[in-house]
Amino acid sequence: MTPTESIPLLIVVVLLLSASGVDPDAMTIHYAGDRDVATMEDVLIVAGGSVSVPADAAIDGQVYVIDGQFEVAGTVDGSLTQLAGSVAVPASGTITGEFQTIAGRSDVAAGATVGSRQVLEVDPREAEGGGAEWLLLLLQILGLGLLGYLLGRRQPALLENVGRAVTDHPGVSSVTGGFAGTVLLVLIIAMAFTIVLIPVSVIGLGVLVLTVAYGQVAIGYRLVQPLGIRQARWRAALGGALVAVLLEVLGTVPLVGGLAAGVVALAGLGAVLITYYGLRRFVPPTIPGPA
Amino acid sequence: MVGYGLYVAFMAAGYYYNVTFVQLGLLDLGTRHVGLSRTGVSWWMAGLALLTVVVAIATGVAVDRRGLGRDLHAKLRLLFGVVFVQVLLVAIAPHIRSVAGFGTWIVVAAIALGVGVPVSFGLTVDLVPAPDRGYVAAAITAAAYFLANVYPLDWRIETFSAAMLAAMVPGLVVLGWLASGRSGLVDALADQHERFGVGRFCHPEPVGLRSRTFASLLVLTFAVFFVDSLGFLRIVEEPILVVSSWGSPAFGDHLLLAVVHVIGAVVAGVFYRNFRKRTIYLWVFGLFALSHLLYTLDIQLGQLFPTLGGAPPVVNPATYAVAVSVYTTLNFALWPDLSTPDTIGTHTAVGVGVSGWLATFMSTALALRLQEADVGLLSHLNLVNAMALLVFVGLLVAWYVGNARHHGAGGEAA
Repeated sequence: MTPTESIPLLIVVVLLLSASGVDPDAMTIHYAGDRDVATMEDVLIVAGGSVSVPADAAIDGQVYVIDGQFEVAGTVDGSLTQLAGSVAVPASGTITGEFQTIAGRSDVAAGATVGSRQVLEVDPREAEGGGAEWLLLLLQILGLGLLGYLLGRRQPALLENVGRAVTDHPGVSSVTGGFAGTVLLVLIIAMAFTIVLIPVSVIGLGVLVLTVAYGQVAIGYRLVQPLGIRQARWRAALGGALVAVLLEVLGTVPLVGGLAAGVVALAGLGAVLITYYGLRRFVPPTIPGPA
Repeated sequence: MVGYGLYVAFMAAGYYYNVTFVQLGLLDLGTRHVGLSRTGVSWWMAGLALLTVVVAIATGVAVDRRGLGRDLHAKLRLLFGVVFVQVLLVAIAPHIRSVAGFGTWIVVAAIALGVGVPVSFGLTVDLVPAPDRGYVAAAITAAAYFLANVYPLDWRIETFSAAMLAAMVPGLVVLGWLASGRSGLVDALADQHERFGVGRFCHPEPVGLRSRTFASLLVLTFAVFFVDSLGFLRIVEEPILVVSSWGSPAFGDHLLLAVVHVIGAVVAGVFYRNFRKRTIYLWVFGLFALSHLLYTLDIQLGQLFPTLGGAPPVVNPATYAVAVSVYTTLNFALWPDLSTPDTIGTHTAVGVGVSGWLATFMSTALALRLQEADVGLLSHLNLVNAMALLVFVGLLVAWYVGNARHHGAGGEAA
């Protein structure tokens, strides 16, 4: 992991610390090189290199490991949270509080003393697919179906405008969606890097995801039009669910499947944007020219 | 289609010459061969800009007064003369060793550039119908920036000269044949301005040079070029900021930027055709502001966490490249679309000359002066970012006020 790649994890740590009321100024961050630690501020973050608490030393506070190596040969009088990297606690080591491993490699010797140990276990069979994937798909179907139902019941005209933009102007919708989506994502990440704007970036990400979902529901609303479903809410619900399945199926096609699914999703996003969330019908300007 | 191809080839070649040979090559020539300081070169470049603008406007007015905007043969003959002079300039440049020679070169180059602006843009009314100008402008931008990013990677005057000569000499031969009056192709294209010579924004009434529309677009485009150049000239002087992009030894990095430029141009072409001008300007300034924000954020992070210091992520130059492609596309399409065959000379000369040449070289001079005055990188980029944000917010306010007035007027009428 490069230093730049460790920044998202650093942001997570800062968020956790802010939530627990710790002053970020009391943080010590170690990025590179080897270092023995005998004393520390309230918080030590290991973001790279190699940090060791010698056998005869005791440090007091919270330790976070997001990259690099951390060895506790002495005593950590507090908690240790591991988000990545590696942690080793030989037989001489002591952690008085909780040692929590969310990800990364950890090795606790038999004779070591740990107040409490928590490891986030991920069942490899679940991670490889099967149940989890089906559950995710089901959630997407239900989510888009519910969103479609709500939008169709209250504002079917909005869905009509967005859906029309996708089918009547697929090029403009796709290009706008791809461009705006990318730029907004960059902006959201940039805001997160400022630390102060993390809440804004989280909200922005949520709005972006909802907007993409809205576009997908509108595409579905348009797709199921030939079925002649009279009630807009059911038409939108079915359309939303259908698009969730369609994107999943498209994604399974080798090479071009994922790309096609992405284009469909971006076209929906673009259509939402160029119609001002469906409030206006998109009509490109008329330019006089040769017949 | 032949007309489209010719137009794209002429304009892309001309723009490639500007962004590589003139903007980068002159700096190398002036500092390395002639022995001028960077500040000295900056003043010469400012002089080049001023002279180019004066010559462009004089030529543009002459073109319109003599009715040459409707004469494709005459425009091709003038263009042949311009390219002929430029071929000589390109061949001579690497051998210049004195300030006097450098100054003479600058004067002749400015005259050629000044004549070339209204003449080359004047071809639009003959070769490209208004509805397609956004896409054709995108093709020009994509071709010019793709080539400029992948070749040459060595920014020395000798390399630029060799590359330009290899491209310009065959082009000069083709242009000579077209300008000779013996080509039936030119005869077939010569009357097209009657059908599609009137620009997109000249319906129902032509846009006047002194109109508010023209003036506001001139100021906005000037601001775009100024912001771009002021920022880029400083970024490109900082090895750490360009080591993974424009200054990278790896061809893959340059190819990536070239592809990003093409994507940006395609996006701009679609936007230009399908949205209003204000939308595109908002995107341009928003992208520049975002791009400088990313650069300044990186620098600030590096100051806070020194071990994080290193090349900025590729997203920074990529955002910059997209912004540049978007506004370049806009620039190629906008001025002809504000013109008719009778005003194309003056309008494009004023538009491109003032907003493009003057802004680019004035900001170049300012950027170099700021560097000489030891203005820090972060302060410099913050200044550029502030300018971009200021115009971005100003545009939003103007948009809002415009809409409010529109609805207010509607309300009263009702």
